[in-house]
Amino acid sequence: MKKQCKKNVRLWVLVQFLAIFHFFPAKAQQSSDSIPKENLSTFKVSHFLTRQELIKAHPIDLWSAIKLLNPSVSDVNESLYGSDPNYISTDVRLRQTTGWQHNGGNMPVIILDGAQVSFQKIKDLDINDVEYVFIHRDSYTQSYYGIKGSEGVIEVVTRQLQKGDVKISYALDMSLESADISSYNLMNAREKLEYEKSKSLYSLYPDLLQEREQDANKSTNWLKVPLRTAFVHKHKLDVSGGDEFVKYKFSVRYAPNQHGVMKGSKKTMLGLGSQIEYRYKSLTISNTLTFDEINRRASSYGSFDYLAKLNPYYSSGNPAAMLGNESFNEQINPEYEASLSSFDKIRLHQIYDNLNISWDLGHGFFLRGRFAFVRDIEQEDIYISPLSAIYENNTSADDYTGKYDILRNNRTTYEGNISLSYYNNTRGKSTYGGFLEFRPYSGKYTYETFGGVGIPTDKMSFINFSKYYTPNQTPEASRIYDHTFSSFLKGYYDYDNRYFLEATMTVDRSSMLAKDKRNAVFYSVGAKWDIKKEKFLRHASVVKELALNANIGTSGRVDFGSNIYNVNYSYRTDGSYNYFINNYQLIGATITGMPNYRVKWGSVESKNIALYTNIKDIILYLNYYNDVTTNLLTWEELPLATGFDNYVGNNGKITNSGIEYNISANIINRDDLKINLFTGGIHNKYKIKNVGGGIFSLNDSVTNVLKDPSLRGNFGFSTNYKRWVFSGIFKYTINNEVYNSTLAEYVDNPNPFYNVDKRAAENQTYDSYIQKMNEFSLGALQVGYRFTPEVCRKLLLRDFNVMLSGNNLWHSSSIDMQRGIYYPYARSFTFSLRATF
Amino acid sequence: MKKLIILYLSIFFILPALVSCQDWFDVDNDDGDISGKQLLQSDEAFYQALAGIYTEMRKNSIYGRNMSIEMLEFMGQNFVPDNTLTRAMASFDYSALEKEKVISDLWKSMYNVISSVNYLIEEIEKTDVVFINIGQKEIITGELYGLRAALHFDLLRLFHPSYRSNPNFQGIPYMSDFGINVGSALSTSAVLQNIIDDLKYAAGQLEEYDPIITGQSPYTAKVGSVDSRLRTFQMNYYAVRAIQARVYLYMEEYQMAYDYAVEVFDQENLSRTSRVFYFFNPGTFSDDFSFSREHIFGISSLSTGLTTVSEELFEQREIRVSDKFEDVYPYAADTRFRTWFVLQEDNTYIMSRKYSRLSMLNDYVKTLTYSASLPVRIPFIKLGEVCLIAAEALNHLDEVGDAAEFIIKMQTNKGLTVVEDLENRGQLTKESLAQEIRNEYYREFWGEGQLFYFFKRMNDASIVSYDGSSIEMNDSKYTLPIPANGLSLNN
Repeated sequence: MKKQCKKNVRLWVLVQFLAIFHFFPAKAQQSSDSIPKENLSTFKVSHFLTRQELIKAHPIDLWSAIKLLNPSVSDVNESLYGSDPNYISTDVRLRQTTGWQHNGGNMPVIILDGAQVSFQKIKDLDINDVEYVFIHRDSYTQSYYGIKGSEGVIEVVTRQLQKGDVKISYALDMSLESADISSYNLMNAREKLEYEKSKSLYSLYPDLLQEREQDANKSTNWLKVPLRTAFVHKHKLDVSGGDEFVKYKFSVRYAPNQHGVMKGSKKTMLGLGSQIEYRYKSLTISNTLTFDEINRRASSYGSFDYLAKLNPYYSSGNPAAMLGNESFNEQINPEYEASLSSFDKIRLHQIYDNLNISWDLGHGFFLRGRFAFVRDIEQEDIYISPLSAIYENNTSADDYTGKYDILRNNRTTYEGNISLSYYNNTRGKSTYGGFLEFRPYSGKYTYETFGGVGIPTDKMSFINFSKYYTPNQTPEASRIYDHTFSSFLKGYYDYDNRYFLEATMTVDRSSMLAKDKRNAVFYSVGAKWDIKKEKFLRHASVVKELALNANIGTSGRVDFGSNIYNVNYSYRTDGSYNYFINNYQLIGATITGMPNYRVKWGSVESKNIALYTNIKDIILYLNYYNDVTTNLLTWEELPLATGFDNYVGNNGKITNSGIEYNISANIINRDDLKINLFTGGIHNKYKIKNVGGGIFSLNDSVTNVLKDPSLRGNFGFSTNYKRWVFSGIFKYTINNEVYNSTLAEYVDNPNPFYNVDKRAAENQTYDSYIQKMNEFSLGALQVGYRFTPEVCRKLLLRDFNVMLSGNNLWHSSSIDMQRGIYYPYARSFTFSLRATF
Repeated sequence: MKKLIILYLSIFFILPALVSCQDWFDVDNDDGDISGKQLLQSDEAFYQALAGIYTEMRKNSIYGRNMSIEMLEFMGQNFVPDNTLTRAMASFDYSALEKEKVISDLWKSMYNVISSVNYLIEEIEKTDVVFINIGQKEIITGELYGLRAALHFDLLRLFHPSYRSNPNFQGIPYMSDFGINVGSALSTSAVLQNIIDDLKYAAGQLEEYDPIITGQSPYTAKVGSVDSRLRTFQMNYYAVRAIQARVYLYMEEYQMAYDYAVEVFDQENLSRTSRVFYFFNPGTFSDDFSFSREHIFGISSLSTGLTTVSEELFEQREIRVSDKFEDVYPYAADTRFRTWFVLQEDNTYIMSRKYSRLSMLNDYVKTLTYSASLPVRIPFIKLGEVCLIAAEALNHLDEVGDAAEFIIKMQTNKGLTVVEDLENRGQLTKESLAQEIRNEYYREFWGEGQLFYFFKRMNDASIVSYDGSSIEMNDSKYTLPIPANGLSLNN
């Protein structure tokens, strides 16, 4: 038994060396079921979150929980999409991007149990299946992922299989959501009419003014028209068990009609999963297979910003297609549109298979292989009814009314790895080891779209009923490939658990790189000094832990497609040239630009130094980092005798530097009462050092970037009192530079035909819409109760928990700016139940 | 056991290294553009890329406007300028032109075409694509070399002083590689040597296969065969010969110039139906007002191209011909005078007819059942110029009688008898013939951008301005300045 234990520890250590970072605490592995006291149990570079912490931050939504718990994670477009259940982030920053901010679409690598997956996969992952989430922004991990690693890595590790009798677990979550539109400050009917009069809109229409003034007491708040209180319920059933040879888990989750707060928006999810692990002597084989089907539907009212622009003197409940029909500012009636059969829906199928084989060869050697297959098949259908008011002024034949578009997005990846590791701790105080891995990756991402017009009637919502292809709209398609072969080598040395030294090297060869620069080499070097283990501190009881760590390493980013390093032709469809064989004319093909055969990947050199202390149960983690990105894409001028003005070069340089911290204190730590307070934060400075001849992909070189906040952080508490658990998490940003789109569109001389902000009446003009914003919000509040074993026994249960959570409860901002532009934010209240039979 | 495991392991680890074959990494994304490697997988694609090069040549910054009908014509003092820009052209005020980026756009566009030519030469010389038509690969290669030389020659004529004035002037580079590296500035003689080499190679590639040499009846083009009918829309064998004559004349190597010029007339030996270029007799050109059958090579234009520019200049802006016009055309019978120009109510002439919408190219696109007219094209080199080259060369070689024959041949077809009359009157001398050759240069090239090159080749110390006054000429007026960033980023 004892031997088995030791073996398991060693196995775990090796697993950690294979995929996860080495400073990961062995301590935290002891029991994954007990709620850890704090999230800073040992010195580490990568920030990680446990399931228990995540659930405290959000009982259902993993992505919201991650953003709340780790202040360095931010979603650039979040304030536009609010609580849209169907929103998929496309621009996520860990700390800040290492590339140009204007590029957009910067995403960290997303890893699920070692396999690269799409962001959607994580977004829809069941939070109860998660064991840990790592937010890697350290040079070791970034270097490991080579040309893809520079934006950092979000890694999700799912729960390990447990042996035991057959166990059935049921999880239920029920939520109520209601929209929060308190950031909107729009005019009512009377105010709007006054504003319109001040702009002399009625000088030609005195009758219309009279008519509207008569109805001005009945002001409509159009923002409330598409909103509802949404009810959501989710179910999950797991069957698991096993012995020392075979372990298994089968799960089903079902979340029907998860309504959003805007009418018509919903998401339905069905997930099936199986996990099997087989052990034979020193060989372990495990396989995880999941299938998910997700159906999403956008609100039939369309985008929320349209409702904000509707004039309040138009009354709701009007069946007409146009509001203010035939007046100078008629607007399409969203209620009429919502009554039609139009829709925008997305169906996604995800297949995920992850096979792991590990073999303990003895003598410290360990062989491991992995194969993963991930396929996302997504189809979006957009149907616009022929009765839609957008065809109201259509003078051409009825033939072209009604439109049906289909957009398909597919993503297929195969990846594998095979690795050999060696580990030796038989030489006294020295421990050393090495690791070699080969990792092929093949990804194919395709996109295609086509559409038809001319739908006979409203109910014929199927593309087969369209009469023609959409005029002036050609089918579009793209195929993007990523064939990458990575080799990774690592060596490490540990003396007496006090001094730790490690060096790694990654060589990536990839189809994404220019032919003449196809091999990319990255390295990392790390050192750790565990001061607590030194003689002078070994017996100091006040200082429980004290360690210093420093790392340096490189990683890369590929911001270009093959069109940058290849000569490209485009067809001159604007005019043919006479001639050639049989055909008397030919469409010529001309070269579009000067390629850069030797364009390089962007290279990030990351340095950091971190301190970790635990003094009297007050844990402090402090990390200073400095990332320098070079070789970013820029426009470079060319002598005109080359035939071209410019081409893409590698002269861009930026730096990111800053401080991250986490403090956690157990102020009371008794058996019946535990109180933990924690706070974390980040201060980052993004600086452009060189833009060459201009930032690539922008026509004019915009070098003014919005400054990162002086501080972005969170704080919270967690209290265990007997069988009760209370927790709360707050989030804030200080001095965050934002572009106030409300000022631009609703306040500073806005279009008076549409509804505007109350402040527009002041007729104030603004020099700049960039403002500094302080924000403060209550992200999560939760109370939970764990039933006594006696009650459980009476109910024939092994374990029984209930929780009540409130999320996004309150938000305040120092500037008046609308948030939730395309979809409002929602406050949610969730009741959760966890029962194990 | 242990050894066996090590063996298996090493196989396991060595295998992936072997599997990582080159092709697996050579995948290109498909999103919008087509890479050259992907495109040039068939003979058809090479025609498309070649057609693209000709398409680029008709840009307004070069042959579509400035190097045919506008800038070079104002510099040749043929038209009366009507605004700041055209006045700058007529007065050789290059710094004013460069303010409007006229010169750097011209420079860039010319080298842009050259870079496309260079890329296609690189590709066609290493491609393993099978060309279905025999000789098609050689024809395309020949055209590309011919174009590279012809384009560089026009750059030389613009950006270098006259060869007569200074053959050692260092100006343009001879670009023969696609890429970002610019060759060093070469002397006029060195550029000319490169041009001669390329033209020689081009002629060698074309002379065996170009169907223009053998000629084919326009009604019997076989399916899948290379068609001769539209060869004058491309850099064909005779165009290369004509340009060789043009280059040697520029270098004052008269025997060589004559030898190449005279080869062009080999086409005359073919039957009339097989000939693709020939002189129009008066009254036989129908509505082909630009006499396109005299083009040995002309660049196809769209109805929105040269015609539209001509309409803008001559019909909308009503740009008049220069004051010397009546001296240029003293004979009313001259078909060029009668056909190209229109008398306006105020008794002035405009050149609105030559490139007008009514001026058509007939019978190029024709089968037994189908015929269509094409809009006017941009003349690149004409039979008339070859006559003038041959005559000038012979005149310098003191063969005045033979020289006169070429001018007579040309003038007969234009309804003139000037040289014939000189000969009959016994007044034909080397000097009088040279004067008549000069006169023909004035008459022949309206709207074609050639007259300025003639003044420059002659290195005339003064020329007659559009208003009749005299303009003192020098190297700096004859030589366009190389634009900043033209050669390197430092200047």
